[in-house]
Amino acid sequence: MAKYIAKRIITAIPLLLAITVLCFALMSLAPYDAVDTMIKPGTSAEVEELLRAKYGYDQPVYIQYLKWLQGILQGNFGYSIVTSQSISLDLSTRLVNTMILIIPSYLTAYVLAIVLGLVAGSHKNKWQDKLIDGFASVGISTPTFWVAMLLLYLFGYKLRVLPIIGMHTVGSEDSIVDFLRHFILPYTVLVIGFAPDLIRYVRSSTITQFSEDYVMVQTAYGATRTEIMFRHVCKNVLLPVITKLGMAMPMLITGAIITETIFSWPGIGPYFTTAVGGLDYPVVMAILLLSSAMVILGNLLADILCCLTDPRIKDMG
Amino acid sequence: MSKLKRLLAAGILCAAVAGTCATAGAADTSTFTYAITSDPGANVNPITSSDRFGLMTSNLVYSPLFKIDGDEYVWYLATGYELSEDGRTYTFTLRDDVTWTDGEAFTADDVIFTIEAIMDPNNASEMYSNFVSEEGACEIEKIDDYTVAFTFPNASPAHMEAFTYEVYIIPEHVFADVDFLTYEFSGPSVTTGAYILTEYSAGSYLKFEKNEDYFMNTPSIDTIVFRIITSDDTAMLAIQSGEVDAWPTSPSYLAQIDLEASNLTAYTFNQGRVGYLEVNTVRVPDTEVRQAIFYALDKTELATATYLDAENYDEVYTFLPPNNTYYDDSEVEKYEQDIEKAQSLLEEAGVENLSLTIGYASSDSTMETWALLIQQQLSAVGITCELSPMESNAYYDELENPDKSFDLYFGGYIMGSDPQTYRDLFASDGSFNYTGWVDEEIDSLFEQGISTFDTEERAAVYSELQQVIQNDAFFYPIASNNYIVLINNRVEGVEECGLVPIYTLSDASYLTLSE
Repeated sequence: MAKYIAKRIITAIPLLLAITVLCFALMSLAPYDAVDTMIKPGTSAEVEELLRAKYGYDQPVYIQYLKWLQGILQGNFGYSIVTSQSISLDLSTRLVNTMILIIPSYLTAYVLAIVLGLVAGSHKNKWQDKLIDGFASVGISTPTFWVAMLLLYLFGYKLRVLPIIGMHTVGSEDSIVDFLRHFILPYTVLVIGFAPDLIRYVRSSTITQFSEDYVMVQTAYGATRTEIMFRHVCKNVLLPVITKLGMAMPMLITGAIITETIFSWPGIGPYFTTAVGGLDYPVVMAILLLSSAMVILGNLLADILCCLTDPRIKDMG
Repeated sequence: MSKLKRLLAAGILCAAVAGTCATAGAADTSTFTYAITSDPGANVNPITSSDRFGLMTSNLVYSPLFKIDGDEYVWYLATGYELSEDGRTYTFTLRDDVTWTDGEAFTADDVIFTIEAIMDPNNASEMYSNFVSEEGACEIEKIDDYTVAFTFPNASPAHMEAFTYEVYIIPEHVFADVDFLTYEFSGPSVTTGAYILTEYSAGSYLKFEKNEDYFMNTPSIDTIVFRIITSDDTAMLAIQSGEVDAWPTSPSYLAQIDLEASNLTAYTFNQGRVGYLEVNTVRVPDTEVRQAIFYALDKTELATATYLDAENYDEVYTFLPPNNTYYDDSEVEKYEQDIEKAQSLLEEAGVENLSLTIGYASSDSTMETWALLIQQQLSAVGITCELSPMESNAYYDELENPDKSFDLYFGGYIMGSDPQTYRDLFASDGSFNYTGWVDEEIDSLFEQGISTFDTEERAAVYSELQQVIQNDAFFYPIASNNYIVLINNRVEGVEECGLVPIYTLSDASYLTLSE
């Protein structure tokens, strides 16, 4: 097992490198660069030259890339070209803020989905199923920003019970209650965003399991529906669902971009979109690196979990 | 029902109850909250900041030598100046009663340090070209602790503005060994301004506390917060619910808000901006054709389509904004819409079935509206237009390309008070002359404009210049749109504070909160 994990991680490194090269190449193909986004008509040509030299734009593309890579290998994420701030500092605060939002909401959506999906799948075509599946369909079709704005309008403006902006009220950073009041709306939006897809996944998995032979056999032996559900079907359904958990790891970084923007939540989302718009390549590359690493690790985690939970795979591999 | 689900439901219920039990966010009586749309960054400092909110911060926290208010100077850190006989040396006398918030005295050393930092090419400051030009750099001489002399390589009335255009004096004893490009704000700033920057939370807000020792006036409001709200829709809700007290907005959002119900006032003021249409004279070299295009346009329709109400913009007929001292449209060709004249000009030029490409930035809704309207207006004279939108940054980059494929394109600028600051947009060798038009008369008039310090003589020169540019028919000013700020009625003293371009709040020490 350890060998397997080590092998996977080692093969992941060239993949990460390839991703960074591709991203850098694409960014440098754009007809303009970060310096163009910083200057106004009024900035003299001299200052523009100075800025370009300062950020290394006067050198060939591959040298710029190698310099960036060198920085990364030394653990230095570098500085944003547009705001001149240390990227590692920015990332550390923002990543935490994003995770504070994503982890509870994804876990809630996950648990909710398992429960609702199992209920829907086991009562296929009955009213429980219709209700849950209906909710899931509506949830998948509604855009996140619309739900967010609707909730904001209702609770923040019309009813005035919850605050509209950000993570804390200025000056009340230590108050848990204040934080929860700011947290509840984006949390709800994200749960509504994440759950439907998972619900339908679990539901269809459950339906498939219920049509398997062993269910028929167990019913013939006199087992009740609940017994079959909890002792047999559950485990088989949960197997692919666990892999979903691994695949959701990249969401820790980029899963709430729209929600964060609407609620002015100081997470990775707005930071990333501003950087992309300004062609601020050190920031974009840093986030991309983290995100790709998460995808690779997530996949690895999913495979390992699969191995651990399904004895059939263990025997084969 | 699974136990887990029950637990979860209970948890959410608890949180909701706790939320409603806690005091619904009542407006803080000692804090003024201003909504800003982007993060100035931890690097915010008067030397390198070039974004609007970084400049707003500099204006709130530091002081300039003086400010220009119409035709007059309002003195801040300086008390007056003298100009030498040859017009090249400016000698400023400084206040001797100002102390930084850490107790150190403000002296000429701080002024010299600031200007030298601006003139240092490594800092890549926007104000660099105010003091350094092709003809050489400004020389600084310290006469005594409260007197400094600046000598320029040439005499020009435009130099005076250099000292106040985005120039804020910083303390030498704090910034002496700081690298401005990697500088990060960490503690309360040491200032001479009305407010002290005490806290910066990345992506969230900037917090300012009042400076009791501010030399111009004692500030009334204890705390000012610049709240970063990137989504305009969210900001609109926040200003109406009272969570923020001030928000700069656009006419389309303004039209959706019931000002009385939300206890708001919309303050509009001219920001010295000119939004314009320009013709690529490389591709459309025939002056008659360009004049025909201009005569076919309906300026009022263009302006009201984007700015909705006549209150939100000023009419403009030359390259200068209407609030500029030298603006003069009394004898300028205004190109009032005249379809017949347009058609006859086209006939004279021997042009039929003309087809033009209109370029614009795709994310700019104002430009998009103008492009569509102009396409429609020009079709009335038989000109067909093809629309060519481009991504915003790519568009501005393309404008600099002399081989660009646009025949018509849009732009907007806010320059300084002195007409000389517009030179690079129109002179033959101007670095921002996108139109490709070469007219020696324009060049010589710009030179004449700075050859004398007499305002009447200069006025005559600039009046002629405005006529010449309009006669050349490559520049069509559309409107000078006002800056609109929504402010909650509990904020008073806005008139005394003053609303100005870029910084919006000129001197926040005059603001008060009622209640």
